[in-house]
Amino acid sequence: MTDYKKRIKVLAVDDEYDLCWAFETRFKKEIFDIVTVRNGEAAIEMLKKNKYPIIILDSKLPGIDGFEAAKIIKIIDPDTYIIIFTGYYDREDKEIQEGLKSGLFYDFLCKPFEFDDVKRMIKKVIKENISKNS
Amino acid sequence: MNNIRNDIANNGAYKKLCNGIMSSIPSSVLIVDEQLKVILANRNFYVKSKRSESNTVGRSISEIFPKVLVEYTGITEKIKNVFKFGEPNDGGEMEYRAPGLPARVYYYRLAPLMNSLSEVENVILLMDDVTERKHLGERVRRTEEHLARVVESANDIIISIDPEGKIISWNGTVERITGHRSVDVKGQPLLNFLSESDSDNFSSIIKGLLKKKKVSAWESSILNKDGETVDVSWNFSSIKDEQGNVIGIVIIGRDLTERKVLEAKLTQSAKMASLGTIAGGIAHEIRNPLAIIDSCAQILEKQVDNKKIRALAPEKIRNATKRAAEIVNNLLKFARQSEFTIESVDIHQIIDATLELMENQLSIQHAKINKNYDFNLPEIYANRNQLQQVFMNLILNACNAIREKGTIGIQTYCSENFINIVFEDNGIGIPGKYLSRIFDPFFTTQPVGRGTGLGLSISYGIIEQHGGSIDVESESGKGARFIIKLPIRNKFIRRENL
Ligand SMILES: Nc1ncnc2c1ncn2[C@@H]1O[C@H](COP(=O)(O)OP(=O)(O)OP(=O)(O)O)[C@@H](O)[C@H]1O
Ligand SMILES: [Mg+2]
Repeated sequence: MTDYKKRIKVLAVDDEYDLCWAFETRFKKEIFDIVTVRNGEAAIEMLKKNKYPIIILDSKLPGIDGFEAAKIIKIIDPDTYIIIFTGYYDREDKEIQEGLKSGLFYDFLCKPFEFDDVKRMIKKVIKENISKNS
Repeated sequence: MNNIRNDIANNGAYKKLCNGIMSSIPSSVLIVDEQLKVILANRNFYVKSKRSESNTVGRSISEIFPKVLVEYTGITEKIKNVFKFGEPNDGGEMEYRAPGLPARVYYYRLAPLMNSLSEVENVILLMDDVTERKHLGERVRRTEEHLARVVESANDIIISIDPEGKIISWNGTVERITGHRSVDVKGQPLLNFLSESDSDNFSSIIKGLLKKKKVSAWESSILNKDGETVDVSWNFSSIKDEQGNVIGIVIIGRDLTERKVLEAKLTQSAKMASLGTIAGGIAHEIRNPLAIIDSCAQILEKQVDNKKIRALAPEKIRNATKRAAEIVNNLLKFARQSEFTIESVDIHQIIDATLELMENQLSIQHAKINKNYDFNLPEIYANRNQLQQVFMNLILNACNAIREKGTIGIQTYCSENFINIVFEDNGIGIPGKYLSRIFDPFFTTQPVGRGTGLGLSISYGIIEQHGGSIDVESESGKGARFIIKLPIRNKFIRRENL
């Protein structure tokens, strides 16, 4: 899996156009590629074509919601790390805690957020993957 | 010597009669001579004392009664005095325990028995068993104490007056409301504590009661220590003696200002309840624009020289700020304890504003809204905030009833003098046994911590206050329909035009 070492693909899923814009603009020149989509269905389509080791997933989405989408994503690719991205829940909430414990979510990111935190999370995943795969 | 013993002994018929009387007397009777020796006792005495004739007759009083009792009552002295002065003695109470029986309380009396020369020949000791009566008295006293405590601790105003309208007593609630202590007002006319304008009414109510007329409840006020009026609703009932004469009047009043405060509190807690439910939704709605603002700022920080970013980011920040401000505005409009203002309102506009506020909640529940508005609906006079609250409660309830996905239909139409607003959902419905209870305060089938069960009761109150009605049609598993009717021309119109 030497691919990971070169350029990792990160998928951000959020229905807010401006947030998608912000992710793409801020992470243009990183060691990973950022791709954004606006709903769960589109995310699942993308996953069928490409491998996205990290997915930043909004909890509240039009159509199938974030929680449902997370489960489907884990079925398609159990190795994917999902960072649940939400303004609705707090980390202490039952739904989030259960997801974290069961491994459905790798981490939790509350809106508003720091790009630096996102970067740190992504780098941590890359590092863990490298050590796992070497 | 012509004493009674001889009479009894000499005259067979007389003796029989005496024995008959003695044994049928429900009291214990002892007859003693001057040496304080018993010469006769009746059957009642033998039964109660468990003694026999052989160890009674001829024995001294101090042998028959326990020593302590003799000392404690001083009975021997008393008997001697009766012999000496020939006056009956009212005795008193004594407690006497026959062997193997529980103690009983007796009331005893002493009376002289004279011979034909008006000399005291013998003394008769009568003992009435008052044990039961005494216990009963104790019980009555305890019941009275208990009642007094109930009256004292009642939340209602309780005043008793005599037929002249003078205060006999009032309870702690009146003391608290008026600032006057019961002991200080005793004997004063109750009229002193009422508004002058109420005195005629009050007097005629009292007159009616004395004539044994029934009087209905009456709303007026009572004056407190500072001369301020406190609104009270009164109920009267008369106290009658055994002959049916009115000897007093009990007045029970309810402090209406307290009720008004309570109602306001209830409305407020209902707001808080539905606020709690939508708080999560609101959080999401505000955190999203915040996330946009924050990330745009972070990007500007890093790439302030990028022309494209400098053009786009501030615009995005401003749009997001406006969005957040709008949500806060709506929230405040709903949550503020606004004054009850009546204005001409467009029902559709209120429903739409409510839906906008609840957008997030609706999308989380996957609830689809199906509007069917009658655009000829006239405007009506109403309180905008309150109606919004009703609509919000009904929509929230429908959301809760929809488990997976569902539709909420909102229909308006005009019937003769009313406008009708129908909220319909295809959720779990209401089982027949609950239909009559859903408007009760605190009735809820929501899990603990989720619903307070106030939503519908508050809604009911609001619609009633507007002169309208709210009805429900539902069956378990078949969704629910709530129909609100509001009068087109209502009481508020008059008030508005004054
Ligand atoms: N549309 C509906 N479908 C099914 N049941 C309903 C509906 N509306 C009300 N109910 C029933 O009536 C009960 C009382 O409703 P109400 O709005 O008074 O209280 P609540 O919704 O339980 O709590 P609160 O409104 O205080 O948060 C509900 O718990 C529910 O059982
Ligand atoms: Mg409710």
